[in-house]
Amino acid sequence: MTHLALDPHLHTTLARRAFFQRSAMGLGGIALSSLLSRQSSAANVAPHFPARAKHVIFLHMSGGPSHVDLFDPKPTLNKFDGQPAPAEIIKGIEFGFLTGKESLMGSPYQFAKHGRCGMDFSEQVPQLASVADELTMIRSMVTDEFNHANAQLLLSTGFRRVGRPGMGAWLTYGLGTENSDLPGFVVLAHGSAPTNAGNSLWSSGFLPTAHQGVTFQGGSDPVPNLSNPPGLTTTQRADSIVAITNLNRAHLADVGDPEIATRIAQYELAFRMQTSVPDLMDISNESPDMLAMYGAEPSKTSFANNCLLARRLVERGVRMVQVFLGGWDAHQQIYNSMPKLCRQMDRPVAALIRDLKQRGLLDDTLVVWAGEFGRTPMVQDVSPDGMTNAMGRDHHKDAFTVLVAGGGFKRGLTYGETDELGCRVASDAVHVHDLQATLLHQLGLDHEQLTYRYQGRDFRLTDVHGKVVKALLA
Amino acid sequence: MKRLIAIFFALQLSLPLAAHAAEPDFSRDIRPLLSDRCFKCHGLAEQKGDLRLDRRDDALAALGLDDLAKSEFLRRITSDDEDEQMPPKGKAKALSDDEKAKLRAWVAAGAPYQQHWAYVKPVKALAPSGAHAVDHFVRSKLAETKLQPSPPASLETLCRRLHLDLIGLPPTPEEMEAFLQSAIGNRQAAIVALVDSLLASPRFGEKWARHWLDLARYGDSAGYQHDDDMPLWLYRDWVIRALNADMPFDQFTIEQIAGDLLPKATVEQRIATGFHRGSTVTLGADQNVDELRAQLVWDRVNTVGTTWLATSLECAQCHTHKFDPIPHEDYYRLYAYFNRTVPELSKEPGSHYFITGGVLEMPAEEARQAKVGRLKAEMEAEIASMVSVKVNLAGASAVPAPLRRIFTGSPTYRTPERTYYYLTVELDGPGPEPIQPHIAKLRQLGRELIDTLPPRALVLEENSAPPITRVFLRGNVRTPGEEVAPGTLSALHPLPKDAPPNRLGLAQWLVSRENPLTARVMVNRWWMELFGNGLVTTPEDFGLQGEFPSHPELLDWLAVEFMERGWSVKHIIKQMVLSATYQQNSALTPEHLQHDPQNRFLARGPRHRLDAELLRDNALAIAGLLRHEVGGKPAFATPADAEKAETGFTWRRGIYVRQQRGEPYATFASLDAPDRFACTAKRPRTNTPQQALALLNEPTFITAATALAQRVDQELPGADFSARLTRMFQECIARAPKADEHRVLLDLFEKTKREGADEPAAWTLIANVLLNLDETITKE
Repeated sequence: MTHLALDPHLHTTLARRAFFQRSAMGLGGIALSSLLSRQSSAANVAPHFPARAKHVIFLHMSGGPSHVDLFDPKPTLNKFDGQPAPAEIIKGIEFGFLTGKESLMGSPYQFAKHGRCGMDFSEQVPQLASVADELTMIRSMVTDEFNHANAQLLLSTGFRRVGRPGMGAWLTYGLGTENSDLPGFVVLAHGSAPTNAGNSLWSSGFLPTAHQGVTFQGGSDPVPNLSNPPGLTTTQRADSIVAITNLNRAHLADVGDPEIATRIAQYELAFRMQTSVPDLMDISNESPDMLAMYGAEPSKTSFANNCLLARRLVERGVRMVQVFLGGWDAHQQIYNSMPKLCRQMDRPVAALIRDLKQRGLLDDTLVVWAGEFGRTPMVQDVSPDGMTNAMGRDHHKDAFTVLVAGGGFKRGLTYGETDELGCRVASDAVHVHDLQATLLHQLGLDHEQLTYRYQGRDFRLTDVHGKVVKALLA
Repeated sequence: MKRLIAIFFALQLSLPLAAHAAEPDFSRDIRPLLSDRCFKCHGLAEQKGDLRLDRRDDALAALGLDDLAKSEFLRRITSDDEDEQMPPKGKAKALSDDEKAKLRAWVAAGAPYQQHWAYVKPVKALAPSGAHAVDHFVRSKLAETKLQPSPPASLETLCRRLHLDLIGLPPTPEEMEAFLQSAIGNRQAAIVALVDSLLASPRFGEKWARHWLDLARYGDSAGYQHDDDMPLWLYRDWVIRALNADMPFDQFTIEQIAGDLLPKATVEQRIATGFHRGSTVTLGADQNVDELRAQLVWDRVNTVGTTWLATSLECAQCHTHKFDPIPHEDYYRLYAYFNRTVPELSKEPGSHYFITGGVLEMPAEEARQAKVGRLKAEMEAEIASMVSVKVNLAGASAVPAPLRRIFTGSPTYRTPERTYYYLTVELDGPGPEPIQPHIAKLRQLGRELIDTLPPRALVLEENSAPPITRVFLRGNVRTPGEEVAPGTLSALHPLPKDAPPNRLGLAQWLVSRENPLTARVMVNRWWMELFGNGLVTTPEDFGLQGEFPSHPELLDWLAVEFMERGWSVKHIIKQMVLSATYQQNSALTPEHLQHDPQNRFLARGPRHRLDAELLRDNALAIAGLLRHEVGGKPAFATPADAEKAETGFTWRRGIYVRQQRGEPYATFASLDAPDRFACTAKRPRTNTPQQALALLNEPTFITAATALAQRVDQELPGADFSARLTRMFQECIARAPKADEHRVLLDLFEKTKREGADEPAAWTLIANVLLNLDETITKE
């Protein structure tokens, strides 16, 4: 005869959690949460060296912003505006659409030096310019891929094709997470085409799927199936989970499979997420000043809201937040689309950096602003849709700019140079794998040691490449 | 708690090692070490310092067998000097003391080499007559441990296990009752009869196709940006029918790799080649067509490697394999077979690429053809009436996206198939006002046309003028090297005599009785489906870096039996499920937890969570909602999805749910179903909060709970709580509730009603609880 190990406190505990969200009291709660943390929250590797940062907010400008219009002023390019691009410069470069015969196109924007450090910004990003002294600007980025999906995969997973874990998956695998009420790797996406490679960018790849990024959407169900079905009350859900737990616990006593204990814990986490996630997503309790600083509006979805949510997530201990803003793929009418995007992007990113700094979180948090590649210094005359006089710029993998703030990167540093046209890197090239290696380094992880064995091979985020760029670090 | 866990873990690791520490076995103990730590620099691909350790003759000088004191090999692996130490720091994981001791013992024993076990043809070891072969090998191994076999599972548990394993659906209470009756006094005969009837069920193929379709990276759309439809479902149905008919696996292989090349190939045999039309690539407008094509062919080679040979060929795509004996050229010899198919990418100026290639249009009766003709003509007329609009649209950036796809795609829009195809797929947004009526008309005609068109299937076709295949140096299509002819892996058996130099020859080679891999790889997969783990735990890799089999003799016995019995899949599955090993109780004892938490020694029966599709099937079957009908067009996952597509809905099995690769059904994805972009040999089996949320709240599972409550209400009108609860338990887990379970659920029922819910709502909540029990979602 089996006796149910009924826990008289469990119901109260769950019900209390419905009101007070994060208590981990109650017999079941404690023992089972520790099992849970063994499964999905604990670190799988010891830090290889002391960590300077604990969290990453990766702002991915999907589509590829134009470095020569935003961060990398090129007087020579302006001077030769409309002239054919010198053959020796563009020889051997792979373009998406260009034929190689296009003319150079200067930037119509004014650049100026900002902050004590004197960092260059164009007039399109005045707010970013105002936090110049917090930023590290890498003007010598290079990538291997000139197509969106492949280049985004390379940037997010370290490999050009689908199937590898995203950086956040590597981090939660390596370092675990600090909040058992929320997933350790969260993805927020906004814009017309937030990515071209979809969920492969935040996949867990061959790592256990508990590490995959969880997408929080706007609206009533930020996580799929988070809301109870219509007509089911919170009390009924709490009562039913208690019943499931009690029956599962009795069955655990009968059949002894630890998997049942994990399942009990995951049902509890699911229940906690039903409260913790809406609470996280509800930004109406932020002060009006804070909302204004970001340009965020409660109960809307926007890039600004996502930047604010990124801070709230990091504040709650989430390991990595990947925020996508789509729309930078300006094959046509770049001077029409880019200013609009800059208005969406500029203020919230600067606000995020200020906000993190004010809260003392910037030291612990790496904020990365990056596109998957840059854009050509040459004009794209014909759009992919056949539009002539398109006034666009094509994909450009041979030079682009990335910004990093916090996490022990050298503040106010402008690193690397491109040639006079912004076409190729002239000095101190930083490959995407180097950036990844350097980010991992700041998180206390050696990119060559953070490995996972799959199909008989030890895989890494940086594949078989990458070096830590010490010069970027404070 | 944590401390206990650590102890279990340590014991688990030490047990198998401790048993064999005395005399290292080359295949099991030594080669994996050499492969992992040494071969990368001292193997087939590279020989640093002129040292090669993967062949004994080359290694002898360094091993120094004559005088161990002078052995350079031993000196280097035991050296404390960082400049001398092997493997060098940072190049490979350092050797542990235990590993060093094993290598030393091996050198001391004269450094015997053996060929890698998986490359040696399997031989059937004799099992004593009277004993079930599976049990004989499992029990002999078990005898080396401290564990005892578990008692047989109860008849109820076994009946449910067999149903879930063989047809992927739970037994109904009536089926259970009939089985229990038949087993009175004749347990074994009843089990055999049940197994036979389940193997003969049309539901068998629906269950077992799932794992094959993971390997075939079967999808209903192309994925990536456009995620266009891919008409492959006739191939999916072919797989189900082939499995139901127990098509011999050699034929099953040949038809999928080269059905089109068989003499007088039938339509069915051509459809079978859809196996390799699951490949997909990023179709940007801006890509190099040679590279896109190479990606498709690479995918086919790699998929053959994983599916039949459990060998990760990818490494050899760019260079000679660092671990397995696969030279770079071998890879491109395999590539050459698939480089002879018609290119499947086409592109019109200014447009994106399309996946086309071999398309098989199924024959249509006259009336249908006439209707298709009429609809096409009407659409052409409608499009023609929009000529002025089209001209106006050219070059304007304000064209709404759905229209742009039609018109800027010109002149492609004149190609009937493609026009109609895109019309139905892309026309989902409202256009500007003057175009709106045309759009509405075209949409309506297009939908009618799609329903009328005879189904089509993507297939492989041989190119009449195939390109020359060259090795791509460093895997780069821009650096072609030596020309290569079609051929197979040089380290394995030769091509059969008279094998034609095309895919048919490759297929014959794959299922040759000389092939040491295929049969082993396949029986291991089916074993994994039933037992949760393969006898080789790396079902995707039987190479040097793969795991050594837990029961090598059993694996070989099954492989040879499989081939000897005409490659009959059902025969092998029957052998497995009729073993006492399979039929054991699956409960874990403290001894199991301590000595064998992963059940590698099989001292208990299998117990694991159902796969994504089966979880859905299980809930829908329990609720009585599932519509049984083999095959058909991709089905919508939920009524809401069908409504969005303005079409009708029925609850079909998970195998038929549309595989939209760019946007997979979220519930399946959360339950570890792969996105089907690439060949998958093993699904992970995770346990996450998102899964709990899906099973608790997703409309499918809520609908199932509601339907189950209603069903029991209708079947037992006026019955009391206990009778109804018992019926629900029977439906969900094939047993009656225990007293304590009854009490917990009665409390929940009463409390829910007290707080204002009516009786049907309270019963729905009870059903929701039962559908979420670990026992319900687990095969025990």
